[in-house]
Amino acid sequence: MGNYSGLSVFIRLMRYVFRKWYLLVSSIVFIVLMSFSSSIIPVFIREAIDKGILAGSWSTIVYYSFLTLLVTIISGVSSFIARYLTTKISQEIVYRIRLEAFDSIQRQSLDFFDKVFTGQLISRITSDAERISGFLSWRFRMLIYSTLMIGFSLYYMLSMNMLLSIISLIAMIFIVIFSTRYAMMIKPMYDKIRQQLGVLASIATNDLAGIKTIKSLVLERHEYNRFLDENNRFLDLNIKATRIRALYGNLGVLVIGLTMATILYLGGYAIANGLLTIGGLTAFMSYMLMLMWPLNALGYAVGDIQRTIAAAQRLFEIIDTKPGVYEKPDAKTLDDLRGEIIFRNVSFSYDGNRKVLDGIDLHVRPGEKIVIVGPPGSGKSTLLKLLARLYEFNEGEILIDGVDVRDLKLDFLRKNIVYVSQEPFIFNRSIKENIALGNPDVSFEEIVNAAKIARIHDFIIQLPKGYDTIVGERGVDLSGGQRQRIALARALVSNPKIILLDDPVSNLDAETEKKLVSDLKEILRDKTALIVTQRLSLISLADRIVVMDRGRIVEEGTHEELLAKRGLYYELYRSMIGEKKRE
Amino acid sequence: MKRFISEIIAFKKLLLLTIISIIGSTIAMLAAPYILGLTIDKYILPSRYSELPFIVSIYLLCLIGQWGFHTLRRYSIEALGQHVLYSLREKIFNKLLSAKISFYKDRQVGDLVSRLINDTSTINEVLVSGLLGVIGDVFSLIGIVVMMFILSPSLTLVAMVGVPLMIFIAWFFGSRLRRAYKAVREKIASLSSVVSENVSGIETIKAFGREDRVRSEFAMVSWETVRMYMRVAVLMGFFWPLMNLASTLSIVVVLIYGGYLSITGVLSIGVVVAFIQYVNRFIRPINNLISLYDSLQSALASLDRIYEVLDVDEIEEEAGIEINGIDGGIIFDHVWFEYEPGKPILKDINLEIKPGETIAIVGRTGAGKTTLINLLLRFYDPVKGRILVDGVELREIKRSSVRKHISYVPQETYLFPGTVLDNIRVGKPDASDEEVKRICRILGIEEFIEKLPKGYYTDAGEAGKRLSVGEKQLIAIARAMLRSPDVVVLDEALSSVDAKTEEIIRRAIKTLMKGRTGIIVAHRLTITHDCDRVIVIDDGRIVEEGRLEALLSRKGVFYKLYKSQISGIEALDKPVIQRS
Repeated sequence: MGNYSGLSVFIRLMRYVFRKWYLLVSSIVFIVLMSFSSSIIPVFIREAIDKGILAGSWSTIVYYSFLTLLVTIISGVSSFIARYLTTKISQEIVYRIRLEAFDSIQRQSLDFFDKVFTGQLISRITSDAERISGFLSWRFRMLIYSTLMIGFSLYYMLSMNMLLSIISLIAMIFIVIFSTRYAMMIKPMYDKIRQQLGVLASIATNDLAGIKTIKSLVLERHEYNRFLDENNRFLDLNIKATRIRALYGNLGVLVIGLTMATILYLGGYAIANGLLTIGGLTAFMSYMLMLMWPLNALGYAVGDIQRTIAAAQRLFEIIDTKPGVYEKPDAKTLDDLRGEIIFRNVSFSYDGNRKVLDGIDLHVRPGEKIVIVGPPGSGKSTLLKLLARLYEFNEGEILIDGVDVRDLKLDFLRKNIVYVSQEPFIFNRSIKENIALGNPDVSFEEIVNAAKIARIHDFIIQLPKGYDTIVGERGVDLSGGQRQRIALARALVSNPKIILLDDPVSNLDAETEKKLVSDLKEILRDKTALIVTQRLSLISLADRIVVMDRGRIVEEGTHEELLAKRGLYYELYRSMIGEKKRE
Repeated sequence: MKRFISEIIAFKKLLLLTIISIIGSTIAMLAAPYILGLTIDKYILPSRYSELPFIVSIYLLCLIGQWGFHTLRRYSIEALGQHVLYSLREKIFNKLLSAKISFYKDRQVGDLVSRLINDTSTINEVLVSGLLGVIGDVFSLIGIVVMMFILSPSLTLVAMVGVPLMIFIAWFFGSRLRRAYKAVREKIASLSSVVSENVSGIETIKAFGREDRVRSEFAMVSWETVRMYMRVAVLMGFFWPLMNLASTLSIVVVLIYGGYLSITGVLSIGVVVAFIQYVNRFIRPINNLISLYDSLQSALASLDRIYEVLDVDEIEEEAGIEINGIDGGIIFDHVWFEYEPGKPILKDINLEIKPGETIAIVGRTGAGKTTLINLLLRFYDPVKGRILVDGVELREIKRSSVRKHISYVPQETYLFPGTVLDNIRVGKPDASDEEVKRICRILGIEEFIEKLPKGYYTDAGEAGKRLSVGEKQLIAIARAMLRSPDVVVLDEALSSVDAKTEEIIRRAIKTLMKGRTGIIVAHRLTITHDCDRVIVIDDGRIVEEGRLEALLSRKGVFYKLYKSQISGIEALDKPVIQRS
């Protein structure tokens, strides 16, 4: 592992192929049959001309004609089967690779996603996988087919005339070289063009989405010129590609033309000297025309190997990435969770340098409600995320009912500890499904109930399709507050013992906030809760308040105790209500 | 369609080159097999070898000519297509930029971008490159048939036996193939949207332990693409071998019948050989022709979609007076406005804003606050009444001039791709890095920006992920400051920020408003403390107006609003006081 030389990647890719050896072998059999039957056709035509037309035997003509037809049918059937089999091999392999990559992505802890771009992952799983399947299905088939076809054809050619065969061979070599180089030249151009098209689309998308900003800043000319520049670049790239395509992409035609003229010339003399027949001459010319396409395809296939290996490498890298959070083989579950949480000397850093949490010690009793406050960046959310095992930590331990969270089954953990993030993700499906995410077996009544508690029910029922309304990117757009409330409902339906709320009211208006807070009191009654907040309203829920600063717990106690201390909490509290006191 | 043709004709040079190359390549392509036949019949068979070099050089010339013209044809057609594409995109984009805001009201960005990017591509592929290519093909096809007819009418008729078959195959399998390909593309698109959703929502998926379900969904969509590819493989598997068979059928028939004619001395061998070569050239043009016909429908639809944008008449005209600044006040004089006829949003607004004054506009969602701003920035014009700036009616002033002097800070800050610095710079595109940084220092937000991973040079996309709506507004405030406008219109975004950030933002807003006329749409009512006057709008009318203290003591609409917002704090405050 870790070794990604071209050869090792290729071998690894081939290992997938060999796993389907029975399909591979049978497809090769049919490719052989197909190339053999196609390459014999010119021989039949030669015979038809020489022994039929020239010898004046009509029955010979008919005989060879039917042979030709028969061979074409055999070749067609073999081609059908070979294509089907190679497509099957490649698709099943790519299906597998794609799934392995996806699984690996899903196993990663959140720090992996902090580092990569979504678009990159998408293009691995779509474009790179496509490239591999394209190579394994038809490039691979063409590689074998063309090589065999050239071999068979050369065999028949040699049996007719040595000199012409050698000339043809030389021409073939040139064509393959040209088309290989052409493929290597044009493919990167296509990538650039596709990228440039992406640039155009992204300028347009951004400008149109921000049209009001553009207009209010009077940036229309500026943006128009920017688009024009990129549009120009797009045109230039395309013209360049067109030039390459026209000049080099057609070079094979020129070589074939030169060869055919040479064959005609030398063939003419050969016929005069009795070294070749007219039928033979026709056969030579047919071979050249017939081989044109396989020769080009061979070149493309060779030119594509490198890019395919690069694509495979990128996918293998993803597959090989070790997950940050993983479940121990002997992970266990707990019966009758009480909900006691102990942080013991927990430290954590996202980047290995700056400590976000630094020696956290905290004991949360079963059923206790802890509100965590502190300036931005003090590590409040991180504390919750470690407990939910969204990130892996190495220093210290977190115990639930006396058991290290790292010794617990992830499934068990996720069922009993629910983390509601500050900016919850809403999936592109119905509201009902979005809420039921917390517990797929939940009844509709329970969903409605949760929505009512989360104060989102009234909003949902006034939507045209109620709970079946599709929300998210391609559906109804929700405000930040509505998202938060749906996420809260989502947490409620799974009815966990321990609930972690990351600033659950940050996007709500004052009135909803007030009602929600009073409801939360009821909801959290028999649960252990850790609540991170910037808002004063939630402090009323707290049995105990924990104040964090720069990764440490600096103060701890009830509201009154902390106020009396006149420390950081007092300061935070002052600034939270500051504007009111200023009057 | 007529309009579109005139657009193609505009590129005279390339069009001429295309026509010449089509004719040239057709002639060369027809000549080669003919000369081959001639060589066999008149030179090789009668053994006239001394003249062989001459006829072979003509043959060579034909082949080279065929290559040359073909290359030229390919180049000119594609280049022409690219130029048409370029100019179409340029026109559409320009149109979109100059369209009025109302045009965007019920349109989706994705749809407009798709017209700009995809529909134009389709048009190029089908109506420019595709069509011209097919015109070339039709020429060849006609040429081949004519040539064959001259050589031997009866053999021509016999040779055509494969043609109907080819047409049928191209039509039957071709159209199914294209549909299958489309299905493959759709499946891949849904595959990428599953991945995208999974990656964006990973935190939620993990927090709820939904990995298994997402995985099975992915596996299902992934298997669907496999199935679609298999369908393509089957159709392709039929398509090419059958095409080959049809072509071979023609060759076989030519051999049998041509052979018979040749044996009986009606026809020479050379002609038979030439025929075999001609028949081979049927497949491609027929295939192209049918596939073009097939995609014509969708191309015409694309054309419609493009012209729908190009024909938009809701355009912001460039006409109007140029102003050099706004030093006087702003007056709303009996202003009425409605987005839909009969549903007025603003009703008889009368308001005078004195120079240098900062006012707050307060009201419930949907009361008409944003509309008021839209009118001031000339995104819309009043239906009735007028707005006066420095005594000049706003609608007489050029839009760009209005917006140059009245700077708008929206609630949702839109971040463009690029760095944070670039994003501030859009306020004044020719500002230097130093100038931008100086402005941030003045606003007191430099520290905040430098806290980002790469400070000013943090990627905006990354910054956007880290920053709250309120923090993003700091960037918009800096943008506005950079423009040094006379009037600032600001839609405040303080609702979702913590106390410390709120302090920073409020200080920045104060600095920005210094010495300028300011209009703040207030959601978090604490901001009204920083304003000279508060305007309360309800249901499209100004219902209260005055200084903050005066409005509070009046115990009217504003008092109620204010109370309900501040009470969140008081609820906690009271018991604390009681207990201690």
